[in-house]
Amino acid sequence: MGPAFTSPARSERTTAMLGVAVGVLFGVCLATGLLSHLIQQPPGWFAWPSRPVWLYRWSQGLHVFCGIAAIPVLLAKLWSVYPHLWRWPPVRGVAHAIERAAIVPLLGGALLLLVTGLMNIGYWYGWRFDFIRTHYWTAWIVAGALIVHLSAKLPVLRRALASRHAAADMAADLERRRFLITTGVAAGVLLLTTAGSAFTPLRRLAVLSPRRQGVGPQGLPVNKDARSAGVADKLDDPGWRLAVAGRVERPVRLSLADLRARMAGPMGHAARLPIACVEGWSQEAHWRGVRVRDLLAEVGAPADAAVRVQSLQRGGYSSAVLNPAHARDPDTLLALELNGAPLHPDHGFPVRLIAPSNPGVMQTKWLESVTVL
Amino acid sequence: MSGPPTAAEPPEPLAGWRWWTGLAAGGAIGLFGLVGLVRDAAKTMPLVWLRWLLGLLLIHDLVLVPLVLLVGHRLRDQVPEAWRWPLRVGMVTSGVLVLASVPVLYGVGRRTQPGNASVLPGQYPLALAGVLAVVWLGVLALGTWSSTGGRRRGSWPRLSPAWRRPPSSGTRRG
Repeated sequence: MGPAFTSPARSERTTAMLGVAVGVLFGVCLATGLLSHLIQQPPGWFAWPSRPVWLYRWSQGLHVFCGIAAIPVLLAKLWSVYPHLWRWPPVRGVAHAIERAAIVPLLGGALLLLVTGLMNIGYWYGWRFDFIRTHYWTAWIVAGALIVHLSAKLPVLRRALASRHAAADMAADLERRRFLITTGVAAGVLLLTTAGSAFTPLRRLAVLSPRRQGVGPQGLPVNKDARSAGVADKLDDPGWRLAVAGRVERPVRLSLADLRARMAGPMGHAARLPIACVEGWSQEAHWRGVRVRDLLAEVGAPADAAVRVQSLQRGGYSSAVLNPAHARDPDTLLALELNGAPLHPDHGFPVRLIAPSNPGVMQTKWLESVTVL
Repeated sequence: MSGPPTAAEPPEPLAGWRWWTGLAAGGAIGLFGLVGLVRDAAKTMPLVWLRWLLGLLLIHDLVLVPLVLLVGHRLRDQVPEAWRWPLRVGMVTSGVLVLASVPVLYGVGRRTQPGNASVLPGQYPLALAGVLAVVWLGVLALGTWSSTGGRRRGSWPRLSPAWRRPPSSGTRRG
């Protein structure tokens, strides 16, 4: 196979530079993915802050769009080392066998993360396993294999990055630069045509994104609509009340008119907050409703209490827990209005939660109860 | 043309504290993931997962890369030098765009989320054609520039300052 691999663009330096880029992109994906996991399933020691309001939006945007940018960069890196696949003898001892064996979970896992991640944000669930659990555990496997790979390749990496002008000739140096620029162009065009679903200045260019800013009821995308969530028939119920109970002194059951009356009084508040989906898209909107912390004060809840909000929806994502920092944030609302109009059913009519720096899946819609824990 | 890049390289040292520490730490983290995956088998379906992992690896190694190599060789043998890089930029960018757009082109999300018009709202075949047209206009411009004036003024990207200095400056290495 040797004679097939004649490109002068291949070199230790090419591989090292792409390796660093892949390492950085996957490192960001791992860190932000783990953060999102911790926010949604917080252990006792973890407290996610409610400020700055854009923190989760940026964190999850980085997760998805670094993953998208990693597609051409990883493919280029693999192209640069492809001849090694056919090296003979395939192994030169036990340590080398271990190092090569670690490449299977590293590359297979990395491809799995990128391919299923990309399919998932396009709502194409072409597998039988649970995406979130599989994505999570595969990320740990890839992280472990990456550390093994790095510990084996660190001397090569250092040598390659230190040898700034060690290319064999000018032509090879030029080819290497062109190859890296080509990879950068591919990643750049991919980002330009997708990242506008989160990064507002690029929104008009996001023509290949599964979501567009401004597209959806009331000019805002919807993750789960009322019909798919199975709540469409429950929203016209005149007997609907929002129960505020749990560890409180004066539990109440509030009708929509009660909530609107509170919104018109001192408990009413408006805020510009983003909806930031775990799938990477996000958009800021203007919300108006009742401050959660004022309502908690009305019912006599303890100052340090966490709060569970429950939806009329059943099954996954039907409830969420607000930690004390989020429950007490002045911008955390039981929202009744979006962009100056009553909530559309798909956005959570009659009332939904909106809190700063909170994952979209935890901004529970179609509320039926608020329980102080 | 250079040969396989490994020919003149010293073997990588797979010994010493750094290798063994990395192996122990990475192995432990990887094992944590694998045990988690297996213990969560009802949701992760390890055998299905393994089929995906190996399948993607094989598709990459035995289909995608050989295809890229084949096209690359054709390009090298049959295209004038000035047009090779512009064409390579165009083909790589187009290939990546098409691959990354498969989920939105397939559009199955519209069926998994019926009634939600904000899912896959675009005219994706048309949008992709438009993006590709812009990319190939760029290729055309770069190729024309490279095969006419560009070549006389020196190929782009420009070489590093060390390369452009005369050999007598004594700074050129390698």
